[in-house]
Amino acid sequence: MFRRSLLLLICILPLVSLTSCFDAKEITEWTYVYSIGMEKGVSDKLRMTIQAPSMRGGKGVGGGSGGSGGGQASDIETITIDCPSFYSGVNMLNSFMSRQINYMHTKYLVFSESLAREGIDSYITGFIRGRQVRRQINVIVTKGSASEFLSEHTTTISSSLSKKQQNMIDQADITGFFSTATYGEMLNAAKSPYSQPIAILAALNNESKFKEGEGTGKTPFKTSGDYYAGELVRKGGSRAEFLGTAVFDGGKMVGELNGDETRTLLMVRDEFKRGFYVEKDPKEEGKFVMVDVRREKSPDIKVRFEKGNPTIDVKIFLEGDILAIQSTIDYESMELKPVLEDAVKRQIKKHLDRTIKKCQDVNSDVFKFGSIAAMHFLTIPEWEDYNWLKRFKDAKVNTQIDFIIRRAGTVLKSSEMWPAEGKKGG
Amino acid sequence: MTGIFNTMMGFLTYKPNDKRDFELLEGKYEGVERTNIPEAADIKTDSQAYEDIKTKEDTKKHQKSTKTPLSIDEWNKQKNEESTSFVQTEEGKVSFDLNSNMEFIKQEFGIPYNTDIMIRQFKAAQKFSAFIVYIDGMVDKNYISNFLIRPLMDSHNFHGYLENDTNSDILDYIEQNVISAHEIASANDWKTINYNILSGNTALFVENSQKCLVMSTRGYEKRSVGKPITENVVMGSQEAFTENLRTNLSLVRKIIKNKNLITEMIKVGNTNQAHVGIMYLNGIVNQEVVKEVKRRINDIDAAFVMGDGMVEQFIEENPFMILPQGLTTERPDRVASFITEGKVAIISEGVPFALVVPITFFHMLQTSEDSMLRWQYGTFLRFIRIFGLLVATFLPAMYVALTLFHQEMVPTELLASIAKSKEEVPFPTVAEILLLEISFELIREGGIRIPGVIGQTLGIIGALILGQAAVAAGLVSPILIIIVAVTGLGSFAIPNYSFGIGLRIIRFLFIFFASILGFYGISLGLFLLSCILCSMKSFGVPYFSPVAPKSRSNPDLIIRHPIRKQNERPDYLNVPNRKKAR
Repeated sequence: MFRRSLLLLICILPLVSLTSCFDAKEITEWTYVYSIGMEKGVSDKLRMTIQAPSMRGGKGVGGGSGGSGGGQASDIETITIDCPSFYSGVNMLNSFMSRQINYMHTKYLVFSESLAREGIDSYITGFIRGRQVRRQINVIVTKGSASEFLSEHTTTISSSLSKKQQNMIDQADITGFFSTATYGEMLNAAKSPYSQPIAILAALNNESKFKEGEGTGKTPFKTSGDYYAGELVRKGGSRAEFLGTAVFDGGKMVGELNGDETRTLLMVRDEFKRGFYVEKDPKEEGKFVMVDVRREKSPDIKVRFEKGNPTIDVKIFLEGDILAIQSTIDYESMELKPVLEDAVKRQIKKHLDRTIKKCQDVNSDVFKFGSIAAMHFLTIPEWEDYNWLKRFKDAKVNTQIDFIIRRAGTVLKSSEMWPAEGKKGG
Repeated sequence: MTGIFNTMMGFLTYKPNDKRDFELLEGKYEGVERTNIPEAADIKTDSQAYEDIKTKEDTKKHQKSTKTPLSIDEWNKQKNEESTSFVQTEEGKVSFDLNSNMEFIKQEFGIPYNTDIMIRQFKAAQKFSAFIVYIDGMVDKNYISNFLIRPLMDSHNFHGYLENDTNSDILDYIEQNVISAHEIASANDWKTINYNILSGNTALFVENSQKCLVMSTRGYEKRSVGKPITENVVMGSQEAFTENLRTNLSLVRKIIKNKNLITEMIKVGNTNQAHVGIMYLNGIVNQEVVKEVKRRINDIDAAFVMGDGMVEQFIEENPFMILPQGLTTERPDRVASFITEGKVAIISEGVPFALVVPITFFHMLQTSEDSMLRWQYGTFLRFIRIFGLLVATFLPAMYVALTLFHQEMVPTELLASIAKSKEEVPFPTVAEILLLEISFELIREGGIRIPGVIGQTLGIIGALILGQAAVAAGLVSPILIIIVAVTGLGSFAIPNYSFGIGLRIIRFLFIFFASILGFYGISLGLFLLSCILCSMKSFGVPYFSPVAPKSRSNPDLIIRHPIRKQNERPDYLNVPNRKKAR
């Protein structure tokens, strides 16, 4: 027994004496950064912005009472500093912040567009080694200033910023207008010879497009995704807007995709979940048919090489439901269903072809075609010698969309309105 | 210097464990599916074989201690036989002279200082001087008056003796013809007589007789059979043990109506001489376990032994282990079910509890209600209990580890709210949680000691006012109140009282580990704990049987299968009859 207790003591003593609790830190000793913003600095290389909750709330969650005033924004502190690099900036921040900065919980990494166009490879590779950095951070490229974006992107509907951040990203699954590009994916894509990175495109909407007064309601047809971030015609709500994709070549931003193009990009990458499409009514002018489009199965992508030049065949499988038929023409019927399906197919194919063209113009394979093309090479050096990323622009891409309407929503058959003067057709 | 070196080498080198611990090994009857239950003689040969081995190995002292104990009556008889075979001396024996006998008793029991001892003198058959001795309060007075003194004083009862054989011992005649007591024995050594008087019997001395009659007249106060207090169930038996040993034994016997149910009596405690009953089912129990239990109880060398709690401490495998190695229960139905499974119950005098050995970890999470309910419900209850166990052991430690080391694992918003609520608290998390845990333990301990009426109020003061006020005063953060409350609830869900206390201590150990090394510390602690638990044994049975080491058992560990499938006794007990159906 003595022996055993002595052994136990020998086991426990080093546990206490050698390690102690040196890296234990109380929750209240940290400040948890929600977002990090980076842009070109004015008086130094980098202007870094961090967004952290103020712990002033006292007891209970949230703290702030209701009301739409600016009171709630004060729960979030947005601090901007000019510094030579990210990690030195973190230390500089601590010369006026009482708590150590902790970015374990960081959700957004925001780059300004001008910085992204200049190249952010030095930032994304020089950042990952920190122990607290998680690869699930969503990378956002914002038009204009990152610090301005972050100071505007605070709590609006919910009182919790982290929830808002997560919920905002989750919208990508509902609309497909932007991707859920994460830091880890971006890092991998930037370093791989197969594909190129993308980032979420975001901007502040200054509501300048919104015109007051009641209009005629007649405009040239524009699909819901035919916008870039910051261009939506709207008023109210959070000014920060997530729409579209920033296309990179290595660490340098080379182009941007709008909402519709992002959807087709995600379809090819097999990341598209669902989205509502608006389609001009094939039979009646000025009316629209709304379709809920979903992914049916993985796209079928084949790459062939003809005399060294790649040919890519892309076939995308989609399905969907009819959501609304403004003209009450019965597109549910077996005769008219293919008409509607064809119209949707044509629209999506048009978007897809435009997206591929756009990406080939800037020579950025964000579709990950390279990962399929690489199967034709026996060894990695052979593949690296071929330099797919350089030759992507020469690839010939054939696209095909497969779309089936599965259901007609909760209405089996369209029927016309019946006003006092009788039915239109009757 | 060499001493230190040798000690260090001792830790590093392997040495076979030459300590002869009791291990429950498979005997020759283990698992033999026999239709006939072995007769008593059969067991004796078995035990003889066991003793042969022991005598070869052990010292003379050990041999003496493994001698099969006898029941009290047999014991008395044997003592008497021994005394007759001895050379007759006045020392320690009843004398011919009645007065010297009385003087001896007066001396022995400290009369006249000791007022409890009653000596009633009378003339038996209006002719022979006689007296009876008993302890006031321990005996049934009506019984003594009506069935001892009255027939003795009535000379009609002595016709046969007075007319025919006045030569034979009058006590023999009285034993056979006069007294109508249901239990009667003659004794002539003072040790036996004293013990009998002390345990509530009455001794009768008649002139010119070199022995006395000891008659069972026990009639002391006892509590009637009541409801279980610590082991309440909704469904199932509502009978609990009482303080009276005989009643307790009969409660078990009432459930197991089997001729093979054996009750053996052993006397423990050199001063208080308490009875300990060992109950087992012959032919089902592994005799080695019975022998080991008897050996250990016989080895108890203490002045005062009271109840199974003390017996358990004397006979358990290792007193330094933190979890109990015997199961204490106050329910006769539970004891009965354990006995039919092949375990041994130790029922002591003076407490309404019985001790069951050998037991395993999993018994600690079971209640008698589990088998009363349908298997789905029973299983569900077990899951809740296991969840309670995990919560009670790990939750505060997890909280400490999460907030000190692993903030990345907490959802951001929860983290912010914890941080906000901790903002005004001046203590580090560990101090905070210890403060609350210890005050909770205080409330708990106080709640048990305090009289029932005030106990209710204490709960309100402790839980509501203290908790609320501590938060309001900024001493602890509100989330911690939740943690401690849930922990407390979890610990209430553990059915076994001593097991629960063990876990409460372990919880503090885990808080300590977590505050030093976070989750890594918790896993170190868990590793250490599981090493200790796996090395533990309860009467030769590994504590984690039948999981580690794996052996066959009923599908009744955590998930209960339908009751039809539970037809085997556990393999780790090495019982001769494994099928329950027989």
